[in-house]
Amino acid sequence: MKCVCADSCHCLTSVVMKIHLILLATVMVLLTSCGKDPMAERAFEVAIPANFPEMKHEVKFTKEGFNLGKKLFYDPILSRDNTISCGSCHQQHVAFSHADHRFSHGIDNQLGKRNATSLQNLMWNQDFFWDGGVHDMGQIPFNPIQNPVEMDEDLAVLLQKLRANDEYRRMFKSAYKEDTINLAYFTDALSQFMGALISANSRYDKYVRGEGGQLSETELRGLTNFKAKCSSCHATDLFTDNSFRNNGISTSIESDKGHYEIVLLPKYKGTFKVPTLRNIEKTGPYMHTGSFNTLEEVLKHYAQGVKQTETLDKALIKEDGSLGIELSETEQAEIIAFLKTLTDEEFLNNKSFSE
Amino acid sequence: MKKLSFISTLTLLCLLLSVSSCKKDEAAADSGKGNLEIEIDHLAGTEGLVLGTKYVTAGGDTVSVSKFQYFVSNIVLIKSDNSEYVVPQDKSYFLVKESSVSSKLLTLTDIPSADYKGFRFTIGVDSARSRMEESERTGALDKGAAALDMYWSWNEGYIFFKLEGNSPQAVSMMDTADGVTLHVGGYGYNGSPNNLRTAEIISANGVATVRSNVTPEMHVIVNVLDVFDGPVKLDLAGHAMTMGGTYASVVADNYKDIFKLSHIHND
Ligand code: HEC
Ligand code: HEC
Repeated sequence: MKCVCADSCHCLTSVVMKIHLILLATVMVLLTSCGKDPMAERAFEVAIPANFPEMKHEVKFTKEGFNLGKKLFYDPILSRDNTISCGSCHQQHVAFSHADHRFSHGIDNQLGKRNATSLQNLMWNQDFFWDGGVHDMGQIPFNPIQNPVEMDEDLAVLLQKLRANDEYRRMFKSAYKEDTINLAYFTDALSQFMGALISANSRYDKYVRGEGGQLSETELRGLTNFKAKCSSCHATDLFTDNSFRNNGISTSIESDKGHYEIVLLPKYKGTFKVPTLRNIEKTGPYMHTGSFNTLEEVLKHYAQGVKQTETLDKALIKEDGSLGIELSETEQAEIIAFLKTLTDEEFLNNKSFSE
Repeated sequence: MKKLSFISTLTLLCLLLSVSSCKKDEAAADSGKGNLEIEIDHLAGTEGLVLGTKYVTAGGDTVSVSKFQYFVSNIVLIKSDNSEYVVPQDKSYFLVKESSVSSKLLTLTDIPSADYKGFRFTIGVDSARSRMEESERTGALDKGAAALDMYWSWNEGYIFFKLEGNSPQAVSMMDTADGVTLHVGGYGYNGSPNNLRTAEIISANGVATVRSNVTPEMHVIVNVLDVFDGPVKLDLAGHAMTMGGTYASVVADNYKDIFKLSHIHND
C-alpha cells in the first residue's frame, strides 16, 4: 500500500490502515514524515504480519499521533503526583511488562493485586487486562489512570495539566489539527502508540513465514509438543484464543474471581485471560499471580502442579481423572526451547518505541 | 464535503416536502417545530429531597442521601394518537444530578409540533453508545467533565445510577462503617446481566402541545424512597455496598418505576 500525497504534509496524517486481513498478505503502511528525506524521518512501520489471525481493533496511525502517544506513555504527568508513567510498569526490554515484579508498585508505593501483563499485538486482543474488563483500545488508559493504587488521577485534573503545558498544546494541535485537548484525542494518541507495539519478528516468525529463520531439532520437537499439548488455549501465532480459563494455579476461585467480576457468570469464577506467549522468556514472573519465576516452574505446574477447583479447565483433566498435562521432563525442556524462539529482539530494541 | 451533504439534504427536504404536500395535512395546527422541557423534582416522601437529612425506608432502615444521580437517555415522545417521535440520539443523553439544579431540566429542541401525552426513556446508557469511540461520548457522557464519577474504567461502562449516603443499618466494608453505596451499571456485555431499564410516563389527563411558539413543560417527580421500596424492599444491612454485582439488578428493578408524571404546563 502506498500513500500518494497531494499535500505532502497532511496526507501523511490520514494514512488509514484498511487491510483485508483474510488475504493475510504482508501489508506495509509506511508512515513517512514530510521532511526533506522522508525515509530518514520515518517514524515507524506498522506491518500487519502475514502469520497473524484477524485483527480485532483497528487503529488509524499518523506520525504525529504516534509521537504524542509515546510522549504520553512515558510521562508521569498522567499520575496524581506526577511520579508514575505507563512506562514505569511497562518496560520495553521485557516486552512492556514489569521486570522482576510480581506485583507493580503504583502511586504512594502501593502494590497492585495482579502481575503486569506485556503490551504487544494489542490490536489482536479481544479484551484487555487479566479479567477482560476493558473491550476497546480507546478505553484502556482510563483504567490505570483512575486506579487508586496505580496512577490515581482525576481525568478533569489530567486534562487541566495537559492544557497548561505548551508542548502538549503544540503536539495535540499538530496531531489533530485543532487547538483542543480532550479525552478523545488523548486516548486516540495512546492507542496509536499501544497499537504500534507489534512483535512479529522472532526467529519462530521468520521460520513460519519462510523468511530464513531456522529452528533446531529440539525446538522443532518443542513446537510439535506445544501444538499437541498447549495450543488448544494458546492458539494461533498470537498464542491465545482470547478466552478466559482457569489453568489450575490457585486453590481457591473466590480469592480473585477474575473474569467473573466482569460478567457475573458463575462458570467464569477464577478464570483469567489466556495470555500471549510472545517474548515469554522475558516477561516473568508468570501468571496473574506472578507466582512462577521461571518457565521450568510453569511447565512443572502443567505437568504435576495443577490444582482442582470447580472451574478448572477440562483440558487440564486427564481421561483417568488425574490433573494436568502428560509431559515428560524431556518434553518440558523441548517446549521451553521452542518458547524461547518467540523472543523478538527487534521488538525489544526498537528505538521508535523507546522513551 | 459539508457543502455537498447540505445540498443533498436540501434536495431530500424538497422531495419530502413535495410528497407530503400531496397528502392531506394531518399534523397539528402548526407544521413547524418547537421545544419541550422535562423538569424533574426529587422528593423524599412528599417533601423535597434534602441531602443529609435522615429518612426511614419501607424496609425500616434509616438513611440519609449524599449523592443521587442517574442517566436518562434515548427519549421517545408519545403523541396523543399513540404515534411516536424518537428524539435524535445525539441529543438524547442527560445526566440528572440532585446536586445540580440545571441538570434537572431536560430541554428537547426541534420537536415536531404535536400533542404529546408522555414519553419513554432508558435509565442508563445503551449498549451501542457504551462501546463507541471516545469522540462519541460528549456532553453528559464526557467522563473528563460531566460524567467524571459515572464511569467504571475497570469494567468498561457507565454507572447508570448512583445513590450514596449513610445508614446506621449499613454494614459496609469501606472506610465509613455506615456508608451506603448503590452503584448500578452493566449493559449486558457478552452474556453478563443487563441492567438497562426502560421507564414510561403517560399523562392521564392533559397533553403537552408543542408548537413553534409554545414550549410545554412536563413535570416529573421522583420519590427517592421509592428506590428502596420496589418489587424488593432493599435491605441495607446486607447490601449497603453495591457496586455492580448481582444485587445491582435488584436495585435496577426497584428504580425502574420511580418516575411519575406530576403535571403538564402549556404556557
Ligand atoms: C502501577 C503500574 C502500572 C501503571 C502505571 C500502568 N500499568 Fe498497565 N498494567 C499494569 C498491570 C499490573 C496490568 C495487569 C493488571 C490486570 O490485568 O489486572 C496492566 C495491564 C495493562 C494492559 C492490558 C494488556 C493486555 O494484553 O490485556 C494495558 C493495555 C496497559 N496495562 C496499558 C497501560 C497504559 C496505557 C498505562 C498508562 C496510561 C498503564 N498501563 C499504566 C500495571 C500498570
Ligand atoms: C486450558 C487452557 C490452557 C492450556 C492447555 C495451557 N495453558 Fe498456559 N495459560 C492458560 C491461562 C488461562 C493462563 C493464565 C493463567 C492465570 O494467570 O490465571 C496461562 C498462562 C501461561 C503462561 C504464563 C504467561 C504469562 O504471561 O504470565 C505460560 C508461560 C503458559 N501458560 C504456557 C503454557 C504451556 C507451555 C502450555 C502447554 C504445556 C500451556 N500453557 C497450556 C491456559 C492454558
